[in-house]
Amino acid sequence: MGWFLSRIILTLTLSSVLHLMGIPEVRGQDTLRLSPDLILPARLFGRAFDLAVDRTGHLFVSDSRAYRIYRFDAQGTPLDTIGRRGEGPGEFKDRWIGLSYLPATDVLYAFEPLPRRLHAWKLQPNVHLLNTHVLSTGDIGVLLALWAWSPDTLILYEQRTRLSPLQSAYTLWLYRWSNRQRSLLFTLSPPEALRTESSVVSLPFMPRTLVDIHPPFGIATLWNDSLVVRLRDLQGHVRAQRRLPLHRRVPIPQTTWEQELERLRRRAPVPLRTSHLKQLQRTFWPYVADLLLDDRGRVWARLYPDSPTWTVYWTEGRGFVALQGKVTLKVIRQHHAWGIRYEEDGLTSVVRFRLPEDPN
Amino acid sequence: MRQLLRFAFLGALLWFGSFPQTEGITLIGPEVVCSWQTELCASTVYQTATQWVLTIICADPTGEITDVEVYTGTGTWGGFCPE
Repeated sequence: MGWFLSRIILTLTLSSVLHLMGIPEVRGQDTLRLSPDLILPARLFGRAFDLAVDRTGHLFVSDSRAYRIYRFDAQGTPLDTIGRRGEGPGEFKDRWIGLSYLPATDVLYAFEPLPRRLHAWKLQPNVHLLNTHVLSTGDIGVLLALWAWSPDTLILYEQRTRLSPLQSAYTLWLYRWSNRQRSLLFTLSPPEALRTESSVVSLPFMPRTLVDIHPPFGIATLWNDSLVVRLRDLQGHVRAQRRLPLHRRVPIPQTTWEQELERLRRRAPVPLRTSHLKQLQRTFWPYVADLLLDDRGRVWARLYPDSPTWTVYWTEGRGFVALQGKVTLKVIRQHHAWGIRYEEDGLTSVVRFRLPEDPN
Repeated sequence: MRQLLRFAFLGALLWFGSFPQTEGITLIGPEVVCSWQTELCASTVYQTATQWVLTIICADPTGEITDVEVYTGTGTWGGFCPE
């Protein structure tokens, strides 16, 4: 898919990317264009994976090659590191390290999706580990995301595999840090999948539920083939919804489909049954690849396809925002947006954009 | 006396037979046979009493998990297990 897109998009301008997405402001004059006002260059990282910003402006970046978290001051000067590769408390077994920060308690949480381990560090007056928890491992699953909701309460987003019949369940859980108890919030729709009796396969271009959570605003969910963002409370009740102003839908090209199947065959170490995975007839490009809530509870949606030179977000109040580079935003607060920028050669840098005064 | 023994035998048969065998399997839980990780994909092989399960989870370059693949088969895992 990446090869196909890069061949198509390499020469696209921002206007043509917007046109491809069916955005009304095709001419570009209504699209806010931003360049970073701070860049933490790629040489500082093996591969930046996630980031968080604390209330003093310190930046925390997890690195999937270094198995640690880097801490920088607000000007981007490296300060120190947190954690290292290992299996002890505060150490990382998994190269994927997600981050979440809770200002009320000044605690940084990190999670490892596959071993389903959680870590918490108190940041002031000095960074120190509070504890490491391992979620129950008596089943087959992965921790997809974690959000710090309030003191002592986290929200976990988990995928679990059920056998006979084979299926995946995607659920949100409340997790009490003090007593390690979890309670079910609600279940989300699983991604569209190719199914046989012995396999369930969800591929990147297939529709799925995107989630972001920001206290106290609630839980934003989007079935990314529907273009309707729903804001829910903790009971799962829909309190508001936003419709993304996108119109065009494009079916998956046959070449992309075949490339994905070939990728499956190469990756799986057993003779897989991809020969009878028939192309879905109703799959469309998801036009939203990522969903984010800012510190005012407004929705930011990263649109797809992107280009090597511009990333387009739609956001409430501001409309379309084009960010220079291939960027995924991770934190938006106090008129700044922080994200990870991906270069063509696979390197990653961390970038910050200053947002102009809100028109609303 | 023979009648009593017959009832006792039938009762014992019913009592032991009432244990659902599938619950026994669930309690054992899947054991991890092996797992390996590349930069963007992680694979894990699980084994239950009756079947193997292979999961492949992939993140896109932005760190979001977008591929979730689960494959199962009966019996013991006989596939590839690096290292």
